[in-house]
Amino acid sequence: MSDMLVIASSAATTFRKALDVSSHNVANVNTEGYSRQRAEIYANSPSIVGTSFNGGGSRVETVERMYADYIQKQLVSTNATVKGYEESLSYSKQVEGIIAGNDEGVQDFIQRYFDSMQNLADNPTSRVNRQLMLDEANNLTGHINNISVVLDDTQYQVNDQIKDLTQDINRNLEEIKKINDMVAYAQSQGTQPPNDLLDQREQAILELSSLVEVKTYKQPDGTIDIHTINGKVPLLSDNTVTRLQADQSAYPSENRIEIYAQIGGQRKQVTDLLLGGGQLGGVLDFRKNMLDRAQNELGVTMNAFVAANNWQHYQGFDENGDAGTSLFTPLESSGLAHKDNSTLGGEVKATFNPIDATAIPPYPPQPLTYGDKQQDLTDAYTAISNLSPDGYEMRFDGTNWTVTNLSNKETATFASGDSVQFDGLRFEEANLNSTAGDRYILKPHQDILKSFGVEIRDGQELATRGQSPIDSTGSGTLDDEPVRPAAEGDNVNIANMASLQSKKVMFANNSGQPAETLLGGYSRMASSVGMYVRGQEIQLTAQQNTYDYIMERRESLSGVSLDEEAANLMRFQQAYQAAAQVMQTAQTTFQTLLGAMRG
Amino acid sequence: MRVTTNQVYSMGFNAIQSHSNKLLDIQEQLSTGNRVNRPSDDPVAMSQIHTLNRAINTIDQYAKNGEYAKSQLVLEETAVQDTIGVLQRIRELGIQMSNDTYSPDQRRVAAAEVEQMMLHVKGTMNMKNSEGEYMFAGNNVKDTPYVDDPANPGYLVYIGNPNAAADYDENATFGGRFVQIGFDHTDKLEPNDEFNMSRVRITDTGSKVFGFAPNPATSLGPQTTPPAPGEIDPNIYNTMKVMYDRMMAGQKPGDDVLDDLKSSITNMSEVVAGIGGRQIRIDTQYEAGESFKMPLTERKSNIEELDMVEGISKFTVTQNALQMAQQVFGKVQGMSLFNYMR
Repeated sequence: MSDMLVIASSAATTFRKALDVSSHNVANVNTEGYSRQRAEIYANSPSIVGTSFNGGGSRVETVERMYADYIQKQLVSTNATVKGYEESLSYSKQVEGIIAGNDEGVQDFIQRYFDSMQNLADNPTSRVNRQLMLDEANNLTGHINNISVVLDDTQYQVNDQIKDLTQDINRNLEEIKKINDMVAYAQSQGTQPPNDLLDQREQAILELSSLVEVKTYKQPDGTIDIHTINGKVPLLSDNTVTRLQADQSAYPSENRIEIYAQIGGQRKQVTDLLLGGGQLGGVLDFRKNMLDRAQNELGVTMNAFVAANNWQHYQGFDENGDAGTSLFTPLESSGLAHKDNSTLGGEVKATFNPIDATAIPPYPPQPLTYGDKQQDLTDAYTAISNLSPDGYEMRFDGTNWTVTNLSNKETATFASGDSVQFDGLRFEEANLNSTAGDRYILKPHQDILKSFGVEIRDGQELATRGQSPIDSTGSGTLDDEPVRPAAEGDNVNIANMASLQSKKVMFANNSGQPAETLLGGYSRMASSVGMYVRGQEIQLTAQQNTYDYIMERRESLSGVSLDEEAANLMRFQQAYQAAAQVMQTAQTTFQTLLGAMRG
Repeated sequence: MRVTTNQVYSMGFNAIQSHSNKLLDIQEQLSTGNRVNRPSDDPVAMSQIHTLNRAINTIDQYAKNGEYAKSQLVLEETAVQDTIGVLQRIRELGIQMSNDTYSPDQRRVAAAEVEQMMLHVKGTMNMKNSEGEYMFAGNNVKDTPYVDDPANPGYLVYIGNPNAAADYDENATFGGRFVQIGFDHTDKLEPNDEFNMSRVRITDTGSKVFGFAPNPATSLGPQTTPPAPGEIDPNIYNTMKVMYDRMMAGQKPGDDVLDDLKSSITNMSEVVAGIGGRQIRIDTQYEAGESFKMPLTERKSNIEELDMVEGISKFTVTQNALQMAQQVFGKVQGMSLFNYMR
């Protein structure tokens, strides 16, 4: 009889616990990262009564958390990828809208600029046409400057974003560290797993993966170690947080935020190790593979534009018969000093100066013959076709300088006091104050975007006329003639400048022939921007699908189904009522027995 | 598979989201009429569109250049035509006055007509266009082309002739301003004043139009090229001046004068034919440009523009899908076992 009561009360306890678990599930139906729980009900071990085994009721052995480690890991990984693509996509769409819009974009301004030159070539003595051409040139520079400002702003925006994200990551890691501590404590205290703590930790890791792509390693004491996806940066190891620090790059005036971490007691730059997933990985990928590239590619087009226009302009003569000066501000890109450079104030620069002239513009004095001057122009075109959308580093060893193209790592060297022509640019020292070990980086194609402007203010100074057609030696060619202007109404030079629109001047192919027009150079930039955005879009869609699928699997396994819980509630409620009924029966039976005795 | 409450929500929500996104894309394409609105819509097409735009716009600019060139050439043609008429009248007069029946007095009276014509011709020779440029000075558009001959008072000398002394500029013997009317495969205009396929010459030098190659046997003009110092410049004004002087003196105009007038008329007729030829070239280039532009424009619209029928039907399909998704979402939300547990 007492057994019956014991069994009934154990059953009542069991089912009440089961009802608790169901209620907990219902309560957390909308909790992010919650894994549904299930009461594992076991039969109590039987006792021996005579020769038979009598059951001993039931108990809740454990509350199990419905969770699969491999699904969670996949979820963390795809979540990082999705967030990475989302971030780079939203930034790159912003840039795409600015520089590559179809309407009123750079190409329209370039077209109008060249049209105004054609009009001037029709009637080179017209003051109105001269002014209109200058106006169009100014419109173009205005537009490019706007783009340049917005691109710069985007760089600053990226800098701020990197700072914020590293702080978020550090905060997240601290939080996980705290949960790690609690889990380890709980594990050392009891045998039951701390289900809800574990869920919280998984959720915190998932949130971390939105910021940066990570890999997790479970430790025997229940804590979790976290490394970046490539395993190279330990973010949380032995439950110690390695804080990420966002700080200026090694070239302070570059104004570029890089990420540093203390690894093995040393402060290392880890920016490139964080590339890839998570918002941080995405923003870094955007900066490296799109923003820097777009700036360089637009810049190389503008450098070619400025150089081609200027050097063709130098060939001509203005209204007064004076040699043409710089139409656009010529490139002068100063090197940014490394923070460890000596304090003597060394300076380096890159310019476009294919004939190593002592000054820009290179004339006067004029070359001896028209042929020589044409050769200068040919040299300039060769240099323009060698321009490459890259950044450069200059390093001094005390006697020699080494210039390195930061993309393809090709180098050129020259002795101190000298200069070198490399990738169409002239690299030299601006003063001789550098000492061994000094380093500089140069961004000639980003600098041109900032300095791009019209030098000529007065339409009369536009060099419309070309070389005089007089063949004084009767040699049948003008190449041996002295350099002298044609008559005022001549339009040879302005016609040649207008022809720059269709002339292939950029990106020499293997045989040294230029492959792109100036507008083609711009299109190439627009295309690569478009390719990047499209690539991110496609990747995002694919990864989003994967994420949705894995999320569904997680939901299917760990999610709460209200219908299921409703059914469980009814089931356990009925069982509870039955157990109560058993107690009632035991009571009645006992009373019956007592009544019989009293009888 | 086990279905959970959140799955039902997220599936419905995701479907609505993705349909809305698609709808937004199609809406943009429909409202701009373009399939390619930004580089990422089709990066390859984008660079083709740029190239096509450049070609089409450039052809338009060449057409504009042609218009301008034509207006200049028409002006020049009219001036030269007019001068030919004058010369023919002078030559008729000359032939008439060569007749022995005319007395010196009658010749002097006729000389007055010649003098008027001389002024008229001089005006044409030093004519300016609407832009204020001298039309017959080659590229020396700001210099008066025919100036008083310092060695021969009363005569005119072309500034490209060394005898013009202080006004002399050899550049004036070249004269071509070339205007681009078609694509140039070299993209370069040489300064050598020679014919260029893709461009048309819109100015001429006075010596080519109003001058003539003197015939040493019959001509009264200089016997050498270029003229020796002190010799008069071979141009129609000077020929008329000789004729005028002789007639004022009561003499016959002289066979040499008539001969030079004849060769001038021939020369100027050739100039007019040349100008006409250039105008025809401009027209031909224009036609060629327009017919070249047509396939370019068509190609551009194929690449860039949206097929409206396709776009609208896509819009309708997506719109229906979105409405379905919204309805399903609403219906599914109402389904719960709890509703039946009362």
